[in-house]
Amino acid sequence: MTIVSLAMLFWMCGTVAVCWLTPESLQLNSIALMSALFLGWYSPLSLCFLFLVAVVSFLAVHYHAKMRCLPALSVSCIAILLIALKSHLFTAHDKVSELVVPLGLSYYTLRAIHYCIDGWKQPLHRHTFSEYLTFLFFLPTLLAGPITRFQEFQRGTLRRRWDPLLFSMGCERVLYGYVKIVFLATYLVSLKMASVISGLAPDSRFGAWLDCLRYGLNLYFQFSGYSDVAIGFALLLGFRISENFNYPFLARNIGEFWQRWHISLTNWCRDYIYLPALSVTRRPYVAILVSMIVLGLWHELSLRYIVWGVYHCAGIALWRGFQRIKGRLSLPGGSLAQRITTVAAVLVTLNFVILSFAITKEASMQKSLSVYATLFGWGIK
Amino acid sequence: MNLYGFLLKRLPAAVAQMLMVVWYLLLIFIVFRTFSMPPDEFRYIAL
Repeated sequence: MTIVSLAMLFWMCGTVAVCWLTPESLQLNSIALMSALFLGWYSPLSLCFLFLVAVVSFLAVHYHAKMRCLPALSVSCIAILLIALKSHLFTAHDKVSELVVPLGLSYYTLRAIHYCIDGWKQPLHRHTFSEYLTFLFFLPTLLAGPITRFQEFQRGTLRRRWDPLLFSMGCERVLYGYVKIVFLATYLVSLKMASVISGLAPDSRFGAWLDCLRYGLNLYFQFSGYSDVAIGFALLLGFRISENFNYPFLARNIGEFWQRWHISLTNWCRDYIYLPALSVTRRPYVAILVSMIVLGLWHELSLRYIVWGVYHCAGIALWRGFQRIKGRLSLPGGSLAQRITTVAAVLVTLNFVILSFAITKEASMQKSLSVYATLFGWGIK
Repeated sequence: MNLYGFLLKRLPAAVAQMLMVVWYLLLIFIVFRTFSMPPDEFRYIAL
């Protein structure tokens, strides 16, 4: 099941209609019910996984006063489930893998882990199991994020009401999302740009760079398109959810890039990986390394994503090092010089990010090395 | 500022509204023309 399908549009329209046609007291439950029906229809096992995660995390938060180890135990169980399913531990057999399609697993497990940790740190506002189920089963964010927070969702449930302006904003956002996915990403970048690149010399340095750029643009338009559809769908249901992308390719440094690209995941990693790692090790660079590796492994459990994490960590470390010595350098002043510096900074960051796509776009590290060999004119091929 | 606000500042309201209608129809047309193409290389959804 993908977001770009008539079936998904049907579910979207159905959920919006059911939500606003039911009495106000039942609207949240009806949204959760529609999500459960959606999952049950396409992947009953996914529904079981999600319900299991919901029960485990809810019990951990509500009974942690009696058993202090419950949240840690629950987070461990959810993390093990995520790792096991991502590493195809249960799904190595073809027939099993056909049955087990954990739709949205990577997103709802992170939401459940956030709920456990926040509930353990400080008491959350009073809420029922059905409210928590609505949060975890929220159809707009179920398949491809953003990774919303429970507190934000609770505030949303209190604020939400029928608003024609919000509804029209939602329709517009969903339309822009689909334009990004099907026209910009799939048609223009994947199809047309790819044919232009293959018409050039694909094995040339410029061709390899353009191919990395094409992969990055495709990824950005698709994923930000999915986020737009999710944000628009949530607006149609009366919820405002946080933005996930903010023109990442215009970032002036790699730190800023990560504040603009997949913002909800970056914030999650900052709160639940970087800050705990920093408080344990007291070494910011170790904490950054751990965070970036976790961020990479979240995408895929493979060596190339570990390398990708280390690559970005090296970039952030270099940038932080430069920030330290920047004050001692005598950089030219004036608005023109500042503009030139900004453009140069954007170009350097953009190229750093484009080069990182060479690691993830290829199926193996050997092929990635071959792309780097073409890009830098190394002898190995 | 959104597109409608931008147009409203520079053009009469009726013209701005008409242009917005044309803009949305164009986007809907583009989406329907390219909707059936399968997206590729998207890893986030297949997790």
